Amino acid sequence: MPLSRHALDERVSIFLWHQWGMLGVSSTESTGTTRDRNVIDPEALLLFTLLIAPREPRLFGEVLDWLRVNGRLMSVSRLRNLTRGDRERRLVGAALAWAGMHNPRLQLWAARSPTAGDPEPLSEIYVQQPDPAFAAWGFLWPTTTPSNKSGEVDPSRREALAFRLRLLFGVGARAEIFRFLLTTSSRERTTSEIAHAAGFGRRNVADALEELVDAGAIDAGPRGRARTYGLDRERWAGFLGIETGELPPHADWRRSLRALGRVVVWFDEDDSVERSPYLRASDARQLVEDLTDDLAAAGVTVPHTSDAHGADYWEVFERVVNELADRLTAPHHGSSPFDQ
Amino acid sequence: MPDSQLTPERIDELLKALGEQLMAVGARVELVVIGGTALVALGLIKRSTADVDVVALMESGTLAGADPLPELLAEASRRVAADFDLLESWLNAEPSTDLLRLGLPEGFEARLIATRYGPALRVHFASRLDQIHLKLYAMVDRGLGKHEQDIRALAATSAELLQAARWARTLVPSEPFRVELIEVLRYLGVSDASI
Repeated sequence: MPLSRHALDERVSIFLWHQWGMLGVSSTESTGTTRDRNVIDPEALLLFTLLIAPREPRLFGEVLDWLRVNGRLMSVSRLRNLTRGDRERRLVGAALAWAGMHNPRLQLWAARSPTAGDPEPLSEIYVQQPDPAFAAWGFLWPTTTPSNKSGEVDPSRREALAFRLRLLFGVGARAEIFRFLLTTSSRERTTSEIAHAAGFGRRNVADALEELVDAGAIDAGPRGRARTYGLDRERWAGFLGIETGELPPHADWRRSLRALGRVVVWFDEDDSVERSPYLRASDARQLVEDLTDDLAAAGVTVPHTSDAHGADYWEVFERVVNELADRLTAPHHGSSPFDQ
Repeated sequence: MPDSQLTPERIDELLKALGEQLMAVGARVELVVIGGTALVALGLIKRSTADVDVVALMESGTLAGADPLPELLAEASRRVAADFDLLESWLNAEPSTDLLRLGLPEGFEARLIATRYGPALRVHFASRLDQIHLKLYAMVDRGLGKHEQDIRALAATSAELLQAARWARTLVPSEPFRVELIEVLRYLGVSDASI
């Protein structure tokens, strides 16, 4: 199927509205998506949204409003751990600062005010009055006032399991360890795998894992030369009052959304340059090569392309992007394609 | 497994692609190319070749060493290799090291034939006469095979082969090389080889 930039944007938009709608953002979007079944990763979703949503100011404003209301359940450390590069860090800083300016309980977030050079427009919309929080972090964005439409996260929703665990264990590595071990299909996970999913430093996660083992909360065993960890899902599901089969499956949102974000941004850049079909396909090939691991985490297999020379690679790229969008946004039944 | 053979049709496509990649990063390059690619590009033979042999870069009208390839050119070359499933060494600057040091045939630069592959890439191909020089040297140095086929396809005259042989002697003045050179010349039909 030929790739339509408009169709991709639309699917991403529906996906975001729906994901955020499940967490309490005011949304009229009711279309079911693949990831309905998967446990949501709040920081990965927020980071992706901040990178993508400026093209959709209403969503951007509503997500900021949601952050203002639910910020106490978000991990600033984890958000910063998930960012790559100065721009992402500043964008996260700006969103946190905005929430801090509009919620006294989060005012510490507004305390840091970096020195910034000429502000970078976040989108093409006209800015009459720049928002001070975004301006302080080097972005040009119109003054945004809270919509006051967001509700608090409903922690009893299966997709919102991360928040329930944060309410239980506090915002930190332990809640993320439990989120992963409860939702992953394997009962033997290495420290590296858990640290990646948790989004905290390996040492931090390793210490927390050993303490949880000492407390009898999780189990440890060997896998080859590595130490592995798992937990009794029935026991913990029972403690949480959830049927084991109702636990939402894990998805590697960090990598899946990073892949999708890079693709969307790639199309933005592609729109701004005129180039031959060959160069366009060559750049697309480079992008897919860079994203191979992230695409694999999203369940997308990059096909072997020895026959797709030069400009012919575009068709392969279309297939990869369509599959990625399908994985994220198409209705899905059965086991999660993302858990590995 | 990357494709190791460049067909005549592909060479043109690859050099155009290389030109586009260079253009995209704002680089301007002039290559001096010898070997099978040059023969194919000039329409002197029609066969596949393993790589594009770069003997030099042309910088402000002067030949300069190409090994290692400048970084922007190397990166553009790697991109083309990925895009067309080629070995990364498809643009091969190894010949540059020895031939430039030892000395190319007299008048080599003046006889180069240039072709543009977009605004960013100009390729100077070695002329037929210079290819006869290089092929004769290769026959003695590396054996018969494709070099013999090429030199026969070029229909080199005795005078051209003798001129080439005298140049080859300047590269390797040793007696064993002279003896072998005379044998090769005889094999090619030049019997009165006084070199």
